[in-house]
Amino acid sequence: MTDKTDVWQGTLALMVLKTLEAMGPQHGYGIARRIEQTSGDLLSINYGTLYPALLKLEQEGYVSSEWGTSDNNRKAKYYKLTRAGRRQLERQTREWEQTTAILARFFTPAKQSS
Amino acid sequence: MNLRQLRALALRLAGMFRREERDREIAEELESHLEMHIADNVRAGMSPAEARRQALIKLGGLTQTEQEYRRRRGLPLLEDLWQDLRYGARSLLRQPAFTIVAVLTLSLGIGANTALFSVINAVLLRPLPYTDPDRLVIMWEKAPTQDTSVSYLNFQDWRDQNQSFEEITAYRPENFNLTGAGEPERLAGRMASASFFRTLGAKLFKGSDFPAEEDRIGGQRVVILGHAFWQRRFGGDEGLIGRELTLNNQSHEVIGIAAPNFRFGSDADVYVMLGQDEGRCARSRGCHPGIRVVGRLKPGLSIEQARADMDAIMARLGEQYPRTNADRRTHIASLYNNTVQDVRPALFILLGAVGFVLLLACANVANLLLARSAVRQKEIAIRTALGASRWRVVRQLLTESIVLGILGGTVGLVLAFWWTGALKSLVPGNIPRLDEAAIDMRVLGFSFLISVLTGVVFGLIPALPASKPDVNEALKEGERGSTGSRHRIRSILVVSEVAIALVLLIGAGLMVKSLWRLQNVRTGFDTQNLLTMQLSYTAGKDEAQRVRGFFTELEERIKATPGVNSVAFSSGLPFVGASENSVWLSGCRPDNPSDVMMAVEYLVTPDYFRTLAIELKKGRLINEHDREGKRLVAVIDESFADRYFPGQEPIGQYLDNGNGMKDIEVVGVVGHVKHYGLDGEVPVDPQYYLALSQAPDELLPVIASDISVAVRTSGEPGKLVPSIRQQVLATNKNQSVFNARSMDQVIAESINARRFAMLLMTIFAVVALVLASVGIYGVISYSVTQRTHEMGLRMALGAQGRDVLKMVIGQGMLLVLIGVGCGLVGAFGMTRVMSSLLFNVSTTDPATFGGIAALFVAVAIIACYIPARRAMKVDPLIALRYE
Repeated sequence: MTDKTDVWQGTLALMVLKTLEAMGPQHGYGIARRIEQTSGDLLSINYGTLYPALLKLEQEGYVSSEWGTSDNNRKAKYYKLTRAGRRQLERQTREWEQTTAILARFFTPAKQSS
Repeated sequence: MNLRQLRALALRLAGMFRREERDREIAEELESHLEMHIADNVRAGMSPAEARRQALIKLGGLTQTEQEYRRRRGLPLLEDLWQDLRYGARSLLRQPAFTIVAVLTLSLGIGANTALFSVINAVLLRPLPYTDPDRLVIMWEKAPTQDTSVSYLNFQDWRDQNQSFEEITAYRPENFNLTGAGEPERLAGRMASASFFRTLGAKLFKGSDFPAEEDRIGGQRVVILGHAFWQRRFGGDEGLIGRELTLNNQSHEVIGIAAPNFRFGSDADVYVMLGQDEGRCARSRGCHPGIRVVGRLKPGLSIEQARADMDAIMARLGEQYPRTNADRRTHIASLYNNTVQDVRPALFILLGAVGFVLLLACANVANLLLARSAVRQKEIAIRTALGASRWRVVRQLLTESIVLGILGGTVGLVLAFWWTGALKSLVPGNIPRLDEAAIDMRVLGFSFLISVLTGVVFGLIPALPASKPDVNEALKEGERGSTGSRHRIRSILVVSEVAIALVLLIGAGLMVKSLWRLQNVRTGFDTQNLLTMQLSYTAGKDEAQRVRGFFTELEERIKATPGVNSVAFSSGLPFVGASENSVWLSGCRPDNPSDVMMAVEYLVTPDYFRTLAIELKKGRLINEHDREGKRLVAVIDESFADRYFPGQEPIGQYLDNGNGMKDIEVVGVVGHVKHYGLDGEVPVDPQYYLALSQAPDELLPVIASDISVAVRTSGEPGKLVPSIRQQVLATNKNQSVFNARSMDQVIAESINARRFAMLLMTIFAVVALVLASVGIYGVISYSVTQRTHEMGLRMALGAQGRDVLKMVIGQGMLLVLIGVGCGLVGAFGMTRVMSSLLFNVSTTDPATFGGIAALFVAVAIIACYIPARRAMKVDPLIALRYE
């Protein structure tokens, strides 16, 4: 069950988890804005894609959600990291760093003769 | 799949329920998302309308988001399936005529196929219920002119001298009178050598096998009971083992019970050891009392090797005993082939018919689905235009086909059960192994699969053109889009259906005609109102006088019974059976035993000829004055006269026979009767009659132990059975009458296998006719619907209803006639394989071919007429406005 959206969703999920770790409980809109800001507006996502991703994380038990009230007194659904989510984040971060490190070697100029 | 994924799956399964509540929740969440976003945008200086527009764009559409969310929430595949199922069911319900015809077609095909194949499987294909059945062979003796059973002494030599068999056993059918344990009963039994069960590899249910050392004259008499008989007569009492039963006035110890599923040929109540037989035959190498021999080949040995072995043995015996064994060989054949050989051609032809019917059913389903596909094309175009993917449309069509297939399969299963039961009850016992027939699940699965596959393949056709991007075209063209080639396929289907059905019908027609011819064969006697019974009178060797007394008294008593016109006793009856005996002109016994002529011998009471209404051709019949002690007399039949006295006067000639009767004077000639059956081979053609009372004293008790009674009745023969039985009991209270059947019944049973085959073939042919008619009707009916517009135009331009009717019927009949033509050619080629099933009918009988073709055309005209009438009634105004 890997197609393009899954790859994208995997990355997106990691961003969501990281964002939640950094910000604490947050609603969908807040997470979306934060991801955009963090990426320095390089990443332009449809906010809509966030919700299925959040649902998937919730189904897998990495985040939990409950209704709460926002800063300006609006009803909003807040997501927060569960313990399993925290562990997953650590694991994924490690894997990600490894992957980028390996890839980095491929992209640095070749030292051997070719 | 790890635990997390499992948990997600479970939640998604749950997500398929309480949908409304969950939908509300996501709507609220997105609403709050939008509000926050809009507020931010307004703060950034946008107008409220622009702020909302931008927020929605950023979200990627509200509906799309909700949909994506829902896809993640539940299991879309399952949800779609459910939706497809509901949709499929709805669309099938909307067209009940289509659905009913399709389901009926499928179930007829599946049901008929499964039932028939299950029966064929039971009789033909399944191995015999013994250990390693392919190593079993059956043997009998073969003389230059005819095959005979095996003499007991020859069997002993085979057993001792052969190199080919692991085990070898001899058996013959024998009936026994059970007395001394309540009501006397006539039992069907087998006399078998001690190795019988061992050879077949059959285990006993209880008790022990035959003790080999007692398999000799004077050995301890023991009996093994058939399981069914043990249950029926003794209620399955295990204490019976070790007790004594009186069979034919001899005490036998019960030593065992056969296994419940054990049977060899027809059912047997008791098994008794053959070697103890003190009959007149056991000590004579020239006597062939009906013994067959079964051998179990040593592993790896072929029948040919065994045949060479047996031929060598027989050659030796021929030199040793030239009087009895000269020129004799052994016939040896696989037991399996021998068991099924008589029914094999019929069943294989029926199997072909089964295949044809399945083909027809598939063609019909294809036809129906094709007709429907045209209608559905528009619907599919609409769905595609609304965004359904090709795969989604295909899935929808697949689901519908499968729903149809499952419905058809279920009804078919019910039919299969019903028909298998019906087939089994149609023919009681006469066809070997039929009772073993049970629904064969593999066959059911196979028919089911074929039918569903047909449905799937043809059900997908509308999806193919619809998957073209040109949705617009399909929408515009509506129901008339690109159907030309499809219509051609349907026409070809109809033509083939007609051809196949015609072949089946002609096959059935030939069989019906054969049976009819067969039933009108002249038997040489009057079969109506003739009751036949068997009687077994037990008397000692020297009690001939008592036997004569018994029959004289019994004759008087039966004759006095109301409803009885005349009664006769005989050693045998046509169709029931009689023994054959060697006969020669007095004093001219041929030296070579194989030159001795055989004749069917009936030892009869004087009223026999009157009772059976056998015609006297010459001389006189046997009468009351031909008694014991007087000159021996015989009446011969025409065939005997032709054979023994060609061009001579037979009356006044003298004969001797193999029973030691000498100087028998021929006093009359009567007409020939059919003895062995209405059809089939006649091993011995000449027949002659002797006076029962003149039978040698030592022979009479033997004859009395198996005597036939013939009663000419004035009414329905069956009604007299109880009163005649009463008369028999009144004469001797230990005496039972059995096998009471009318002669018509006996004859009907003798052609049961043939009738069964004919019946099945006719059922198939009728099913085929119905299917083909439905096919014709479907195509014409569809074409009428499609051409409504054109019809309206024609009628508006002045065409009469009659013209339209003619045109439509003409169109249909063109297809039918092409089909009939193909069918006739096909039948011409194919009925040849049926020649063995036919009787006095040519495989290309013109009357049958013509008649069936005419019948078919008539039915086809009706199938075309119904839709054509609808076309005729088209109202031009409505038709032109149509669409």
